[in-house]
Amino acid sequence: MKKWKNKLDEMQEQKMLRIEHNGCWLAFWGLAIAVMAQIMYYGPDCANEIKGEFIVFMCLACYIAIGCVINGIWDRKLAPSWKVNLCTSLIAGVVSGVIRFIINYREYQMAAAGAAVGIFVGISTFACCFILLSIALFIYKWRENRLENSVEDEKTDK
Amino acid sequence: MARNIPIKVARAEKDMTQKALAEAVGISRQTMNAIEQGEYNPTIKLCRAICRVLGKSLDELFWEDETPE
Repeated sequence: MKKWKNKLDEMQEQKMLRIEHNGCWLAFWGLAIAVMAQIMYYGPDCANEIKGEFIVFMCLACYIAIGCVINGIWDRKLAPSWKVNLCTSLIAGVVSGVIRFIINYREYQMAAAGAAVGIFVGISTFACCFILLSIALFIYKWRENRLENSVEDEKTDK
Repeated sequence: MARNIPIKVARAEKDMTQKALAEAVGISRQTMNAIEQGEYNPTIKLCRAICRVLGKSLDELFWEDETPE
């Protein structure tokens, strides 16, 4: 017996999924902005202040990333290529570098030192992002290939 | 998407209201209304359920001529 029978019809279900989709991205970007704002406000030693938001944000990000890769989905608009990954990683590197520079400059009022730390953090973030995206791209391509071939096998079986 | 007149006609032939048809198919009246107004594209499963209740074929209710609107 189905205890929790779906009370929505298919159009309502689609609308509900749309609402949940918007809610999910609102939560995702809201948490991302909240974490960045708190890092900038509290400075480098803010692990205690942001840990709650950060854990939820990372769980959400991992769930979306793993779910997409397992189902052979990359993105709606971005192509699965190393060039796009390079651009995305560059943006992440520049944003984190600038945030780190602002934090350091506000803490110590030393532009050169702040810039050096910012560049180091930016390059590190860029490298980490690019490596992670490359691994995800490799798994995605392997998974997509497997899913495509399994569909082909089913067709030829019949 | 164009309005679905054949469903409205078939419903009238059976003397059914939108609410009665929606209940017979197992959907809400707002969804039935959206289908008739051409605002929602139903799945093939729902199309078949509507055809079964109205005693019509898929072609009769959902086929659109390729003429430009």
